[in-house]
Amino acid sequence: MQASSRVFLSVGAMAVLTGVFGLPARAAKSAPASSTAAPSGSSAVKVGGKIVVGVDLDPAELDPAGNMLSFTAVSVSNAIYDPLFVVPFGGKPIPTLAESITEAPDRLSWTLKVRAGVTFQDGTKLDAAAVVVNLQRQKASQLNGNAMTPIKDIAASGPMTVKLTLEKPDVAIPYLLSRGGQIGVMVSPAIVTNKADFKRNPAGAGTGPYLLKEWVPGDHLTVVRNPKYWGTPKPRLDEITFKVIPDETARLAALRAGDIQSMTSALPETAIDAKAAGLAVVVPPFAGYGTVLLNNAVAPFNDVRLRQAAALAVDGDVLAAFLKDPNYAKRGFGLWPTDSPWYVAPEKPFTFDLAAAKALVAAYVKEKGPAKFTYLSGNSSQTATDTAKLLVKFWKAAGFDVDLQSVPDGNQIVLAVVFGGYTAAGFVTGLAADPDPTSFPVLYSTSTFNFEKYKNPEMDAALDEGRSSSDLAVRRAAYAKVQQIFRRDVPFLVGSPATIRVISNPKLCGIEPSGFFPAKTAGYSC
Amino acid sequence: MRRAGSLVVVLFLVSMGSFLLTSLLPGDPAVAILGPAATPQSLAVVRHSLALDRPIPTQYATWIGRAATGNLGRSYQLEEQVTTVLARTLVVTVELVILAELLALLIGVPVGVWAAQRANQRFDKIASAVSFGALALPQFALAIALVLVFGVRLHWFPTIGFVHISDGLGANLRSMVLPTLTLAIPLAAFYTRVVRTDMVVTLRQPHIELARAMGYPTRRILVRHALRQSSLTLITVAGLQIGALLGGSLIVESIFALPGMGRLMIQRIGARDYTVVQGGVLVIATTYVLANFGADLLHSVLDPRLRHDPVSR
Repeated sequence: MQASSRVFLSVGAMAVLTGVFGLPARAAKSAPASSTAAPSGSSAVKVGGKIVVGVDLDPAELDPAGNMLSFTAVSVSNAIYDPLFVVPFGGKPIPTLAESITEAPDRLSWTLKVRAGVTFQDGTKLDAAAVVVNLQRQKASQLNGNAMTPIKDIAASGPMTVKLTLEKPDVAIPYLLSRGGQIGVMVSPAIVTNKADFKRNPAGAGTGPYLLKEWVPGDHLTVVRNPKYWGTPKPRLDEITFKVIPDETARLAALRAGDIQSMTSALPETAIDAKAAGLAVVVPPFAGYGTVLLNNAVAPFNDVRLRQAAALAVDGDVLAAFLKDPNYAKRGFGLWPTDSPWYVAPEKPFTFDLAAAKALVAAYVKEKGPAKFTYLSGNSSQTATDTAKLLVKFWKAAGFDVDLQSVPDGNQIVLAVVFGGYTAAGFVTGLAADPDPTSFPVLYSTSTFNFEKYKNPEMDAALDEGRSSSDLAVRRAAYAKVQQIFRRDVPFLVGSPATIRVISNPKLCGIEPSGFFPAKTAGYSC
Repeated sequence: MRRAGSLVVVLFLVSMGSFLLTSLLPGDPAVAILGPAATPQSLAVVRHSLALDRPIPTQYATWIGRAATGNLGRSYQLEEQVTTVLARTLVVTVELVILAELLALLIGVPVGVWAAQRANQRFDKIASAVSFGALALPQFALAIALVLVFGVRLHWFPTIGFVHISDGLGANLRSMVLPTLTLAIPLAAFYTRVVRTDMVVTLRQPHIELARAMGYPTRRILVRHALRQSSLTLITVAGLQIGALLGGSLIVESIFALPGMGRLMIQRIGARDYTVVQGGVLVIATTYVLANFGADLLHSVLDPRLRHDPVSR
């Protein structure tokens, strides 16, 4: 069974989206930057130029088996590494360092054929042994190991073929080996084994279009063109520097002043300002949702009535007008937007209903006491702060007793959420092309990324069915059920769409709507 | 000697405060290093290697013993010695603070002196109004305004980044213009008010009246007689303002993307990188204490009477 005829999914990747909630994220990120329509040859490509890309965060590290989840880290990964597959937004896995992947007739193993003739930047040859080393590292990874559990065994079945043996059928495998979760990214086994500071200095470890030149943590990271790049398109820029400029306003000012040539933004109003200033704004399909995580394990949100009430109390029209985001209308009160092929409309419209919310809260209060909670939110931007205040206002109107705790650093929220030390918290949940990576990590009862501690065997069964079946109709039915249960149980609240916009000097071209900075295609002449 | 002894006690207390404050921050450094999926066994190993499994007094004794030899430990996240990280960023912050302090003094002192000389006249009123305006302006708003005018509109100065002095003095100073102005403008306004207020009182004193009666030139009276006396207050305030400048550098370095200590502290606190935070707080606090100790010594130089004041010995 060829990957191209399959669905695709990304597993377990958290992308740090400093969105309107000003927060880090969990779950799947959809397709990373890739070239799906690579120009043939290089005659039309003019090479040259240096650019500075303003980013809000430093990479935590550069080891694909570690925490390479932020926008910057994935953008750098696009530049210096290649994955086995890439999955463009809404597309299917495209073999990159793999030549193909085939599912066995019994559906309990996949055979991956490694692309011939590729060498890592340090001169090490890419072969089956190298792929095995990489995938075993990922299986042993504290962060990605959970996503690798469907694979029981990884072994070279030939010099250029790798056999992946599964516990049970899993349609997710090709997507798992894409860049989305970093799991499919290949690094030189020689560097990984011998270089003690690999995760901080992986020079020579990749096969990508750029070479790591220097990384000054907290300040900038620079890559230079790899003149021996094996793939297409060939890199167009001589040098790309990712410059850390935490303040969004300062980033935009630097871009307008010409001190940087491109930047990222999660805020709709920044894009509006940038367009008004004559800058080019590339908006990818939205990559996830701002969410409000509700801790299902502790009061008051261990009571489904209050989770439902918290959702019903939010006036979406008011929020949409405030956020000025046209994507807001597409939210589907589930995990998929209304324009997703996996979206199933609810039997009964799920809309703002203050009276119903009040009734639910009143019933709870009469029975169990005050519906009191603290909402933990980021305040990295004025929009994030104002959005949090607006939500608190909605909930208070429904009868909740809410305290707002604003923190400047998303890491504080991550720690609170990961360790369960919260009642409600603003967060971001990723949205992938396939329904499995969107739903499984955040809803399955034993998943690492089920931060709201939601447990429902009925939901687990539906998620298992969607993951293991290769029948599209069966999968559609499974995810329709997931949506139905989600709307009934409200494990968390779905809020505003979150997406990373790339804003650039209009002279820059090749900025594909990927959700990350497309180092491979960006240039001054495309 | 007695002052030096006091300084040692203060530094000891500062080091203890630096250590305890960061030790009491919420969050587990071992988890920050290994990640949320770490096993209890691996967390225990890291806690042991950081001495986090020992009593706080023991942790402090170990830390301060190493710090006394210049070893502030190693950042597990950055995989570098803390002293290396701090040295790299301290260069930027020290230059920023010195430039801002100098510029603020260069603007604030002459304006303050002249405003005192022209007390309640037009220049004094204008200087007062401008000073109050500059003091009321939030630092981040001033920074953004400077960026929009001098960076975005006029393209005179870069809006981000730091050019090391080894890459050219001109480029280095150019990269520091807007950050320096952001810190210096409110500080200059503050110095203007301090000098003006003190000088108005000084200029009414008998020895100044005598100098005037003897026909000394105004400039000589202002600089040699009045300002010298008023500079005692100025020096005290300038010493104390080092703390404000170091605090202000947190905002300024973030907005102008300067790789200095302020931004490092924000990043490392967020990352729960305690070894760097503890070292950084110690360096900042020690710098502050030493600056004020220096100001104290300067008092004695400017006013020899203080050397013989039994209270000060």
